[in-house]
Order: sequence, then structure tokens, then C-alpha cells
Amino acid sequence: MSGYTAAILTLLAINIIAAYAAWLPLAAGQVNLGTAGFMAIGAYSSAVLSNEFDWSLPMAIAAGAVCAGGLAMAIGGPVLRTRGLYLALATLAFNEVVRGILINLDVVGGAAGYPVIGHLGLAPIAACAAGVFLLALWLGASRLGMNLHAIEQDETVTALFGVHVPFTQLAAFTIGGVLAGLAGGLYGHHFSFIEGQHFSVLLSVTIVLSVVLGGTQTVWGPAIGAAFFTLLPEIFRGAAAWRYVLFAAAVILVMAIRPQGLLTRADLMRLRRVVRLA
Amino acid sequence: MSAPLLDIRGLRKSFGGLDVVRGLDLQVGQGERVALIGPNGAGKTTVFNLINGYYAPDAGEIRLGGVDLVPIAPRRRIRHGLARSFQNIRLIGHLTVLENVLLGAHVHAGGPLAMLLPLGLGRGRRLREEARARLAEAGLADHAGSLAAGLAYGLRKRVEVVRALMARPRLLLLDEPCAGLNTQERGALLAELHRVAEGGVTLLVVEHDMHFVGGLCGRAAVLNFGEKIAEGTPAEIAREPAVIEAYLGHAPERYAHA
Repeated sequence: MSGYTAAILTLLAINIIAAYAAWLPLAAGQVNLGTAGFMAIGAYSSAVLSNEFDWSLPMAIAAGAVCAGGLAMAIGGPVLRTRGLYLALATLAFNEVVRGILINLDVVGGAAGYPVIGHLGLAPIAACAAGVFLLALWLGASRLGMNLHAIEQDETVTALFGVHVPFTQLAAFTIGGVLAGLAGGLYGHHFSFIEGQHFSVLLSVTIVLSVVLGGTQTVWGPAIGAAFFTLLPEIFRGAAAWRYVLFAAAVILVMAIRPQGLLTRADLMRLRRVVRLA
Repeated sequence: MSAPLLDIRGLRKSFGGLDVVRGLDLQVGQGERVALIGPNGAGKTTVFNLINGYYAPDAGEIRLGGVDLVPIAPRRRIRHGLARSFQNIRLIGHLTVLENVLLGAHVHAGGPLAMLLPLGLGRGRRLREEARARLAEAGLADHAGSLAAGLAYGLRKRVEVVRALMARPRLLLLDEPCAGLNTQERGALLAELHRVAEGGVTLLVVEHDMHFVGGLCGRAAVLNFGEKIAEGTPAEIAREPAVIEAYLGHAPERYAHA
């Protein structure tokens, strides 16, 4: 495998994990624009643990994911009380706070960034992405997954059937935080360098956009969206300076044609029928 | 008569100066099938929303099996044996019929950890069998795997009833169950609700179709401008002058003089 292919596949694996982090709240209709903030928490805390405290990489990265999840749970209570646009703004503000603190925090290099000593290659990162996908398959088939979809469409009715809506949303937000922290930890230990600037709101928006484009109704949507967002700019590379123009046009086109995302539940059921007949 | 299953006393609700429910008393005995009828805007759906907890009453009591529901959070009321269907169908469109029905059984699915199990595992396995059996009883087995959004209107209406039954309610509130159904579908629904009632579920039904009400309910209460203006068998109600006036706006004598 060429270095270029390996680099793209690693990025794809990290983006897939980040997409699933944003998918869980999105499945319940909650736009979380703080995903990059949770990634930053995972990236920096795991890097500090492996750099300064000599933790093994798996332990450090797992601890980073737990830190991000813990923070998601802690801020989830007040943040998830807001709705719609206000929730998007609250999570966006959270993202900016995290980024602002990291840029000013001199122990981890401040605005100059923070070198990460330990290094992870493609294989362990791809394994993590596969694990996250299996987890998403599991959760998607669970009652939690079903309740999230139900909340997205009709919160009132879902609550009347006894579902504790705030608790369910907090669970999704927290698991999303853990996954984002994992993606951040892997990112830091692959690229050997992290800086607050990378984990901007723009990254959060891109992640949410990729999930929406892939489709939130099925477990496959986030992976498809992440692949679209990672691979398409590479395919357009021949167009040099125009490639992001082409890419943006492709995104708009897909959203216009497929407002529910590239793969909906109905598509998936049609596909299954075709496979069964074949 | 023993204590009624549903006991509503002095129920009041107003929205910004408009009194929608004005001191309603209504009792429904265990196993009874009662209709709540009245002209549009009489406050029928508001009464359902008050029983359900979607709105908090300004005054009054709503007791179900002796327990006052008013201080109980809407989400917990289903645990006391209360379930409902909706006037405008409210199924989850991009979930399958089976999944929608399973949502109805949420209160029997177990604690937070059980939420993390796939639907067919553990306790979920028995619930799924129950859901399939109930769908089969209602003649909806063929549609179990279809997305709710893709179903015909009449079928969706009936899926809502099955979903509510999955909560194993003592009292089932049905808000205009046959609005928009054709004659054949009404017949199927009527047969199904008779079967439900024979299973021991008490029914409180808001419905405009008096034919349907006559076929299902032993008793009807008539609401007009938030007040109960008549109560009795559907046949008695139909002869009641106050009821005729509420619906037509004139007492029939006036036509005689015209």
C-alpha cells in the first residue's frame, strides 16, 4: 500500500469515528456542533497522559475518550435543555470555549501546538473504526436507537409512551462524546502533533454535514457520509485549485436530490429485497 | 356501583381567558365503553390531553383506579395503565410497523441497561413475539416489516391502536379512531375494538360517527363549550333536545314555526 493510500484510509477511519460521534445525537434530531471540541478533549488528554505520564497508547486514548464522555455528560444536562437552533449555538459556543482554552494553555504548547510522541499507524486506527461501526450497528438495533429515532420525529408521543426523553438524549450525547474523544486521541497519536486551531467549529460543522449527507436514518449513513467527505476531494484532486469548488457543488447537488441523505431506511429495505430476490 | 376506573371531577382548563373545559365530571366504570361526543371545539381532545398530562388542568381531579393523575408526570401515567391513539395519526414514519408497536411496549422493556440491548434480545424477545401476535390478531401481520410512512391511512390508524395496546392499558383513549376510514375499514376497526373491550380494556372514545358510537359504546357523554350537556345511551342522547340544539344551533320546534 502506498503511503498516500494509507494516509487517506487513516483519515477516513478517523472521520468515520467522528461521524458516529455526531450521529447519535443527530438521530434524535439534535445538532451537536461541539464534536470537534470533544475531539480536542480526547486528543489533548490522551496526549498528555502518553507524553508526560508514560501511559501506554491504548490506555491513554481510552482515558481521553472517557474524559470527553465525562465532560459531555456534565455539560449535557444544561446544554440539552435548549432546542433546535439554540442547541446548535450552545454546542458551538462550547466548541469555541474548548478551543480558546487550549490555545491559551501554555502547558500544552498554547497556540504553538503540542507534539505527541507516541505514534499509531493505519492498522490499529482502522480496527477502532471497525469496532465503532459494530457498536453503532448494535446501538442502532437496540431500543435506545429506536427511541432516538422516535424522539427525532415526535418527542411528545415518545414521552407519552413512557420514554424518558432528556435521559435518552443525554445518553446519546454522552456516547457521542466518548466516540469524539476516541477520534481525537487517534488523530493526535497518528499525526504526532495537535493544535487547538484544528478543532474548530468548522470541523464540527463538516462532521455534522457529512452525517446529514450520508443520512441519519440508518447505521450506514454516517460511514457513507464520512467516505463521501474524505474521498471526493481526493478524486477531484486533478482539478487542482478547483477541487473544493467541485466538491462543494457535489455536496449541494446531493442535498438537493436526497434531502433525507444518501441512504434512507426505505432505500435500505429496498436494497435488502433486491438482494433477497437475486 | 364500585369505584369507577376513571373518575374526573370538577375539571377546568382555560387558554388565555377562553374556558375550554368548564367543571367537567365524568365517570367511566371498569370494562365500560364510553363515548365523548360533541360539536367541533367542544373541548373533547382537550379533555384527552388533560387526562394524558399534555396539559395541566387549572382545577379538578383525574383519578385512574383511585390514583390522582394530576401530579404525575405525563411520561409516568402510562405506567398507571393509560394509553391513547391520536386524532392526527402520530406513528414514527421511518420506523417499521413492528418497531412502532414495540415503542408502545416501552414501559415493559426494563431499565436503562435493557435500552442498550438489541430489540430481539432478553425481555425484548418476548415483547417482539407479543407485538407480532397482536399485529396478527388485528390482521396486520403482513405489514409488520413495512415502514409506517408507506402504509395506507386506514392501516396506520389501526397500527396506532395496536401500539397503544402494547402498553397493556387498563384505560384506552381513542381520539376519533374512525375519522377518514371507509365503511369496510370502520367495520374492521369496530370488530377489533369489541375484541379489545372483551379482553378487559376500558374504552373512552371521542368520535363524530354516531353509527360507530352506537355500535361500540354503551354510554355517551355530550360536551358543548366545555360542559357536559347530556349523558346516556347513544339512543337517548340522539333524542335529547339540548344535544340537537348543540349540533344544529336551533331547537327543532323553531323549524316547525318557520
